[in-house]
Amino acid sequence: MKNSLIVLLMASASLSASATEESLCAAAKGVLLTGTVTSAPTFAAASSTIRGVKLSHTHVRLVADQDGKNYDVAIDNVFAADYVKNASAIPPSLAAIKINDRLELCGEKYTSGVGIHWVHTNCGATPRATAPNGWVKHIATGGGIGSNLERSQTYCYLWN
Amino acid sequence: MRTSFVIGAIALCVVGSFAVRHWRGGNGPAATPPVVVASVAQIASTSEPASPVARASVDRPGGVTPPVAQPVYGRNGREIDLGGVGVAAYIDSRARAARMGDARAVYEVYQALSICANNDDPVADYEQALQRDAFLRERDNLKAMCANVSPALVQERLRFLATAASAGNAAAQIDHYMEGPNGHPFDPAQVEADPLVRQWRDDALGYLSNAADHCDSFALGLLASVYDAGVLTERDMKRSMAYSVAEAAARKAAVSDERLRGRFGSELSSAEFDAARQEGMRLASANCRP
Repeated sequence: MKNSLIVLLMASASLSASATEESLCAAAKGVLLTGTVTSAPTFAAASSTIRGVKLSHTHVRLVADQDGKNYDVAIDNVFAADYVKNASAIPPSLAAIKINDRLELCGEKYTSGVGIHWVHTNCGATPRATAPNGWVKHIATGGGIGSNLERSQTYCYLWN
Repeated sequence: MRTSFVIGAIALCVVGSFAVRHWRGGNGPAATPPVVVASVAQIASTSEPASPVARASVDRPGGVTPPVAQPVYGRNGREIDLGGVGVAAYIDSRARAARMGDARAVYEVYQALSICANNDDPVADYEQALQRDAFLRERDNLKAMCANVSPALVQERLRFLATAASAGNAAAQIDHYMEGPNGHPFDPAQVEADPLVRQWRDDALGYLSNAADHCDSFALGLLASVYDAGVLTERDMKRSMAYSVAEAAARKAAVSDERLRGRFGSELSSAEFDAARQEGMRLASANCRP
């Protein structure tokens, strides 16, 4: 009986946390996805450079809880706290994402294809559906939500 | 061999002469290429997979890519222009100035050597084979530029960097942080076991603070991230916010309370928030000229 109560309380806390994250993402004008990582991180070279800073990306694939689809997740390296300017390598904090990890993403879905991007801070601008104040967070085994891996604003000067 | 001799001579001469000099300048963040005005709204356009047009630039029919002058980047992430010569020749051309105690020349020697620093690192797992091939071609070009430069000299760059940083060169102070301990990514787990890593960490914080004291906006932004990330030092959101406020002031950019509250409000009490804002303004007014 006691164990059942604990399980119920944990489930309730988890649902409550999930609802909070959902409302936070909605307020940030993003789309919330949670799911399981199905591919190791890969590096995508920059297709654009601003003021001498190459905007490379890290990609992982994730099967979403919401619809069971396999999403391409495009993560901007420049917003990772440990990004090294113009490095042709995945920042260690993003390289640490492993297959079977659980992630929570808030961002914008691709306009074509199955994917999500803009999973990063929008540098304090008023969020819009096409420019949400997004995030990438680890979900711990116990359901705890980690901090945003894509919150560094060091390079926001490139857009401000 | 000749380059080794030149480097040795420079190293002997410059260390002493910099001990009493204080110099700022070089290719700091403010010296980056012309400003491209872009709004936050444009960030997203970089995130989706490469368009067919972008892909075509590395996937030409017949596999022949015409030679295009590509920018060259050092280990510090800065774009470096050697004026069309190789690294060894470039260093030779600055040897005399560096020997005479020219701090800029010492920093330029470091920069040139930093081009050769990453060329044997493991290759990242690329999403597209074409991009990986392009990267490997680029790396081959860099290796060719680094002909006649020994691995020992490449490692020696960190001594030049340290000399320039301790002399107060803000660009070098930032590069010290970018390079990481011994030119490798910082691993906090090594701090206790390795005194060199500990020294690097302490120097990195000191140098960034020193550059920030001279109103270097990039250093201020890095410090805001460092105190937020809590990897190099303990997490301190009050300091992070103070440096964010100072960074915006250094760039003469407006940062509203609403923005600050959105970023820091949930982690700071009202009193801490006010104190952090005041500290940021104090940092800016103390270090940045109007």
